Amino acid sequence: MPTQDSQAPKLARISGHNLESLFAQTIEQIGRVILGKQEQIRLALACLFAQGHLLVEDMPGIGKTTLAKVLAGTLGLDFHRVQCTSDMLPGDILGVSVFEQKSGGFVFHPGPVFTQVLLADEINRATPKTQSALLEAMEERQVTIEGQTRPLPGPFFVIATQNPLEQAGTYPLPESQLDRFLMRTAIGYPDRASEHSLLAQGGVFRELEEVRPVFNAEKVARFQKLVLKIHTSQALIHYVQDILEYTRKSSAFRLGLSPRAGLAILAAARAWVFINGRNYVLPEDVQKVLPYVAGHRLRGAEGQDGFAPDELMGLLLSVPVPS
Amino acid sequence: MAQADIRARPIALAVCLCTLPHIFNIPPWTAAVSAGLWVYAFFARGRGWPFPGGRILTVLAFFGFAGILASQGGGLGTDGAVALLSLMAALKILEIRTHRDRMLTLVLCYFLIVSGLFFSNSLGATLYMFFCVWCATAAIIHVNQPGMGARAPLRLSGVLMVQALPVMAAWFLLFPRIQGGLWSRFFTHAQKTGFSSEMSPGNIADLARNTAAAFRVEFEGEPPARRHWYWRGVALWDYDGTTWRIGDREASLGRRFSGKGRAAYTVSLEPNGERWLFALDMPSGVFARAVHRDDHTFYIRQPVTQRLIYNAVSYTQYNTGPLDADKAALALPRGLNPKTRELAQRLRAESKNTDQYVQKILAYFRENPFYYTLKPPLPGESAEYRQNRVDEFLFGSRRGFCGHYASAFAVAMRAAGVPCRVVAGYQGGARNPYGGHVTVRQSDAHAWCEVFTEEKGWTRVDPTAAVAPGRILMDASQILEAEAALDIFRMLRGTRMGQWMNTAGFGWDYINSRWNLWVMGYSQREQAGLWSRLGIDPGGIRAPAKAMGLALCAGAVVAFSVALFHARRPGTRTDAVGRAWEDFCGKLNRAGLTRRPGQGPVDYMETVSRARPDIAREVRGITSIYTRLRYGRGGSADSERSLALLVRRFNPPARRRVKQGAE
Repeated sequence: MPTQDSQAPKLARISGHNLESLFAQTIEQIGRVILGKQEQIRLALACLFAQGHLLVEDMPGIGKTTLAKVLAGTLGLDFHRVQCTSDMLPGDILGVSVFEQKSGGFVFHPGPVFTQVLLADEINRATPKTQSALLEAMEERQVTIEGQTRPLPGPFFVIATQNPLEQAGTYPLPESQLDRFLMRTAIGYPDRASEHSLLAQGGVFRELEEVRPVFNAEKVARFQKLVLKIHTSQALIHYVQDILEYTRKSSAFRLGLSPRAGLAILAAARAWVFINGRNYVLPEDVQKVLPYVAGHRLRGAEGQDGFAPDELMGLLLSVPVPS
Repeated sequence: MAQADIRARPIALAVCLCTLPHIFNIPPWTAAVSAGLWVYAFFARGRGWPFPGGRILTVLAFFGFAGILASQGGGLGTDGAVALLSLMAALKILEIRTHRDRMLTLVLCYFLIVSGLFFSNSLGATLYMFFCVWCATAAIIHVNQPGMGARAPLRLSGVLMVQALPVMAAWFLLFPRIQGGLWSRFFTHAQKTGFSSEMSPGNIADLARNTAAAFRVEFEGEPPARRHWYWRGVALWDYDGTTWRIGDREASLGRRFSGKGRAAYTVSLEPNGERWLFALDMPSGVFARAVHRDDHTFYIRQPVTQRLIYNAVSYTQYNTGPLDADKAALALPRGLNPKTRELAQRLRAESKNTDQYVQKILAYFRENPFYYTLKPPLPGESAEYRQNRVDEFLFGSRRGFCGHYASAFAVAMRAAGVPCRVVAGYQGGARNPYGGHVTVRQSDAHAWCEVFTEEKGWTRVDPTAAVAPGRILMDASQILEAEAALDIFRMLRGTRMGQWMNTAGFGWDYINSRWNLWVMGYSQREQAGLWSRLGIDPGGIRAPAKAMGLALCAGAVVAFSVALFHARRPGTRTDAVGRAWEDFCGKLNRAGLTRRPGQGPVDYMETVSRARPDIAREVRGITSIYTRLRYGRGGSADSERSLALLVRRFNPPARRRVKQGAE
């Protein structure tokens, strides 16, 4: 696209890299492991670079864990995984202080949360207490244990998953907690060709091992700051406002989007633009990320919790793009 | 659910507001039941009262229907239909379960509103109808967009109505009018307050308390002097000792007479259920459809059930000519009022001519202690007095109002062989300082006499003036005030509040007269005039179609300009860049490549490029500049200019000419 071509060099100068080729390389490498899911990979990357967290709602065996692993590997970040259960305590995630006889004092044993990419599997199986401890850490990017505040390593990115079908024995995340996830997405079944090659090669273990870091933690943190500089024009902000207003007035929704949701839409759109190598946001970018950012924050008039991305297409069609 | 509660109340309120004008038109029990249902519906959800199930509602609806049928005597007239509508709308509120029910109930409101036209089309009623439409529309907006609060739907509804006004005006002026026929059958202004074609003791005094407007008169030029303001209604010929009646008179084409002091005027007569038309003494002609009686009175064949506007011409100085005096003008019931007959014959014998005799009778009124009062003593108990009412009045009580004086005077004339008739109508009126028109009220009702002499023809004699000359210069309501010791108007008289109320009253009356003349009086005739001024021959077969087309065009123009106004409203960002983009989209739209409202620029560009590779380069160029200017980090004035230039030069050929145009 000419609009992007003409702007890309400028952004490349700022970042010191040819972003387009850098991200193309990253996505290509992740795509070798997560077959046929370009869109989800881009969204996950955008979520990370927008300093948000990702909620993945899908069935087991779709490749959520693999996505988190390969993402961490490609970006050169630490990776931990927590399998949430109902008997889990906050300490199991955050860490505990243990008395050590040798030194005669308490020593802090950091929990799995002290990492850069954290996969919290089946987060709705954890008790509300544990959930809130994790979500607190996500929001504050630090944990306070026994009166001592410990910052989490940056960048810090949580991918939480939940199984939308199995509801027995779960604690669904309350609306206020859902709000802490920048995006909610589903991975979905692979298409026929991708699944064929997956089955033919007997899994992606070899590819997973071959993953080489394209980024490192320092670079990720620097890029996250660059994303904030992506330009959002007055016209674009008006467009986002129109969308917010529409959700508040339309009879299809019981609960419209909050100002925080508006900030989230803009942040996600900026990151989306960044990984596509442009330096200003277009309405199309907002339309691209909106279903994933707004879906879990809206409440339907008939009481349904959240909307699938497809269901929000009507919303985007009803809000005119200003000229 | 708390949400549903919020949604039910505006509906109940809308139904209530829309039904209110009917409260006195429908049977009282229907009104009471409906009011009960509103109150129940209004508070039920908030207080957790139970809602009746479908079966109970069915039973209620059935009994309501049966009850209305019964109270209407088996048939369902207009009143019955409106009562049914009111009751069912009230029941429907309790039946609300779904969105569809809500909408249906609110649609019923509009039927309720328009049914108000069956009863009144006055300015006040119309304004109230507008108010109801405003509220009902706001309720519909609320039902469809809950959570906007109370003010936003009302504002939106008001905006919608203001936008509709020009369209309404265009259609009102141009849409072919259906005169009478359709509507008049339904109009049921049945109340017969006001004028009556008989005169018996008491009926004018009753009118004196009624300050409603009887009719309004607009003169061409200056009105004649106030002392000429005798508004002729009926001439009464037959007297049976109690009541004066019009008698059997032949209809004529109108008797010609010579006159001076011509006055031409337009009367707008309020519906009164009678057939008489009022005109200034002495009318030479009233508009064509009226029947002209040989006593210079006019009537129409159908009772006046809706406001009637007619033109008339009168002469204030007149001579009806030497007609043969009718025998009916001398007839008196045999044997009644012996004292009056005796007085009449004595005075007649003392007079040289009729004129002198008339003066003597008037002098008799003046010189004896007669009093003008609207509360005359009731006739005595004795049979003699009850029969000889004129004797009782002339020699007994000597207290009465115009009806008594006119009656006594006429009897005295006839007893002496002087032809005389009583004329009933209105006298006086108030000239409105704003419009210059004259408003005559029911309280101005009056009765006077006409005496026939060979030289002058029929001549007006007002015996009341002999007793209470002030009566002719004041109106009856002032006399009522004078008689009522504790009257609020009297207390206010002379105070600033009183003056203010007077001014406000005149203002309101003026607006009403304009409304009646310009809006309610806008008929086929006026419309034909407008059509011919617009170049449509009103007589042509296709005139209605042409006018409708014109009305549609006018409506479209108005709608379009409203849309334009909205598009260019400040706040919707209409800078040069936006306009250029709109022009660009408009050009592509004409070439058959429409942008969906929710489609972003790059998305649109890609769609267009795929569909039309021949213009893809231009489209890409323009879109690229536009997106950079609009969404990028600002742009130079140069690129703004080049965008405008590119868009101006951009001229997408229609698909057919692609091959040739590509070179």
